[in-house]
Amino acid sequence: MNVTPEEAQEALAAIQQTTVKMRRGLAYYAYQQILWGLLWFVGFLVSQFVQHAMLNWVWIAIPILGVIGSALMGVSQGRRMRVTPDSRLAFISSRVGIFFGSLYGFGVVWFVIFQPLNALQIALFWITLVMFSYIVAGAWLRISLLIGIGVGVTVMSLLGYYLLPGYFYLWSAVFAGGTLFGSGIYILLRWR
Amino acid sequence: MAELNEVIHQPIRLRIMASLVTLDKETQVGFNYLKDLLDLTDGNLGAHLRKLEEAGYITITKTFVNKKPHTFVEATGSGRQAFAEHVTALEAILNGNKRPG
Repeated sequence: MNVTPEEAQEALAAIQQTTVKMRRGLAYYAYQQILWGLLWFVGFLVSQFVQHAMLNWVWIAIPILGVIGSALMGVSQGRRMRVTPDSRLAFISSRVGIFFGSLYGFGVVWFVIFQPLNALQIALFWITLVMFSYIVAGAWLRISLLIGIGVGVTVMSLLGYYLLPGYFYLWSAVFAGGTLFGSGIYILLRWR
Repeated sequence: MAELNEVIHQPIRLRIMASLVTLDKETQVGFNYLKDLLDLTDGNLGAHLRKLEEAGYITITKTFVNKKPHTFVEATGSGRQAFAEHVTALEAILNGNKRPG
């Protein structure tokens, strides 16, 4: 089989292009992070500058939009790829699903039990709960980026809560929403 | 030393294998998505997939989702290994470590 260096280079370039295209097309979690990061960013920014009864509606709309967007992305992704049925990965995926379902189920229960919480406590509660899920998922799937995001945002949120309560929403828009949005973009750009 | 693989080196099959090995192990890609990604027709993609399946480099699973037929494709362990060796051989040629032939 005769292959010249030029042909080898062309073949390697074709492989690289296809790999990037495939990764970007399947980067479901990157798009999810971008979506939730954007929603958090807008929500916290509005919370910082708009002290109005409308805020309740904003924070009702944000999770609804996020869940609908995530579900649509999930359906689209499911048409593109799936975990091989009856495989080890399928078993792990089902356990990860049960974990996240349980965690957020408990989150809602805790949220109700802990009432009354003030607005800052509610924000900190949900940010740290979501970041806890990032840390666990990162440790489970051995993805250090997720652990880094989880630990980093948790630490920054606690700092903002205790040191700058008057600017906590603005702080969270940048360090929680901005981090999710930025890390999603980073994942896509890394696969150039 | 890694050898070039004639089955994989064909340009379309090369791109098919590049797509499949990008996925994690135990993960399958849908036929229609692969067709769109590589800009191929049903017949063209099907023919190349059969070649790769005959070589033992991929598995093809046909199933029904909401009563509609769906086909999923996955690289096998030997397919991943053959592709990795082929890439190594291409890099060797590019770096002048191996003469073509």
